[in-house]
Amino acid sequence: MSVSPNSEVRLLGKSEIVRGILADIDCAARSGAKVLITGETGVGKEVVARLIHQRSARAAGKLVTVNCAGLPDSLLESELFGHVRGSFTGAYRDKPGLLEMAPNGTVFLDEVGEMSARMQVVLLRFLETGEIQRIGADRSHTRVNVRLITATNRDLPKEIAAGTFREDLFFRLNVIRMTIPPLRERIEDVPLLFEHYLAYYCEQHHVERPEITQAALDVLLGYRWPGNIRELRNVAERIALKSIGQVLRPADLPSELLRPAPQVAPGAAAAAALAHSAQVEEMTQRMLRHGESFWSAVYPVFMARDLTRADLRRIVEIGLESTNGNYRLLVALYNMPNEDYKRFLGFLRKHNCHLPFQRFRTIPLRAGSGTVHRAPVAAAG
Amino acid sequence: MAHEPAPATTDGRGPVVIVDDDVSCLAAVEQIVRHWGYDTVTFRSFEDARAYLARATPAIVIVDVRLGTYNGLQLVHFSREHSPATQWLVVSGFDDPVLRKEATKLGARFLTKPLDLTQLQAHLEGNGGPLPAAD
Repeated sequence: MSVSPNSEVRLLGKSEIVRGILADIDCAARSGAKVLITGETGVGKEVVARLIHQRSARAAGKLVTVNCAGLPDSLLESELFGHVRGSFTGAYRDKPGLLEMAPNGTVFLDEVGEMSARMQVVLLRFLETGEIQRIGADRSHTRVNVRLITATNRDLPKEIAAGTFREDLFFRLNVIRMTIPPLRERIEDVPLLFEHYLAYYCEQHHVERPEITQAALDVLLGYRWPGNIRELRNVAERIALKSIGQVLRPADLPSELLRPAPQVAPGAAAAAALAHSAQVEEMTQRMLRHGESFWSAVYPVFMARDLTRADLRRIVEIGLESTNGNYRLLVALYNMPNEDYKRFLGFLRKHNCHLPFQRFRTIPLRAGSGTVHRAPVAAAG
Repeated sequence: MAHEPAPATTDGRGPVVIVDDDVSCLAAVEQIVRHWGYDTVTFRSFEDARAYLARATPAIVIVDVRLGTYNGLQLVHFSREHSPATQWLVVSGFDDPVLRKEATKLGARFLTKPLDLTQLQAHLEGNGGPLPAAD
């Protein structure tokens, strides 16, 4: 959730698909209609939303991003619409909603498919009236002028058939729809993207840039990239930190790129090998390999009590093992924005799943130490 | 890209483009419009209609709001810039005030099902009255 300045963003690539997307972005920017962006996780839906905003007549206004996943109803409603002092425990002062904070701007609702049935009704009503009422306020409706852009990786028509998403809301949000294809459908853009992110991370971490061999490039081109650009970016960062200034060969690439089948990392203490370990593995794989966010992969399952505290602790443990006990890196590893650091830790503490990091602060492992180390995110950092 | 010039009115008798993913609705509207003496071009999917409208500049397009998982209004968005003279009739099974407003903003007419045939014919003949004002 962020109110961000209009920093420059780009959509990289030279493929036909990228050209088509850019043309659609321009068309969507010229009209003021609502846009629904769909596509797999990690394809760059937020980048597209940002570009539409920047190229639109609302570019001078703010772009406010709200991630609808992982927020309980009451909190999401208060974030969007605001609340008045005393309306609930902890509401010590009046707080404007994010919809009020972007006058003549754009509000980007990410993962809108995760909204509860009740919030869908609230949003439906807002679309109809264009008015917002802060929680706890009896009158004082405020009219706001914002453009709504929404995104989801869910198959909403399927959700509609299953009765979990409202059809009328879908058609109101879906005036212009942009479908962003997965990276594997524009594989010719991979070399350009990889070079770009490698250069970017080398500069950011002040390390010398590795030199890529053709063989390594072929591996990148042959991989399916289930986590799309986000996965590619993570791979680039890992390589930037691991292969500083070296010649990059296929063997230097993360193992999942070389193996066709998903491999379950053995990495862990025996305690983890309990009833739900398969579920834990599946969730961590979804986050590590497919770039899914913790808030959509783990949080709802845990809140629905389909995941035990022990399992959640195990997921945290796996993350800490990979990040050398660094919670900030863990937040990035599990695909949460940096601003979620506090919310994430608060969540863990509340459910007594916050593990002390000290025991994970090991020296980088030597060969033959008996433990399999998951690809470190910042071993050199 | 060679754009076919748009006839100023339907007296030029360019074809009426009809887009609906519901085959029976599509056939019914097509039959009526043909009966009135117009040529028709029909599409059952958003993608096909979009590809056609990227090239053509028809005088009249009748489009259903629900086109599979797309919104028919999106066709208006994509086409109105290169085809400003086109008259758009957006048809919906449900009178959704939000979509009606969106359509009006785009300069399209919003008709609800069941279609009023007298009204539809008036629109085709260019006697449908002025466009509703946005806001």
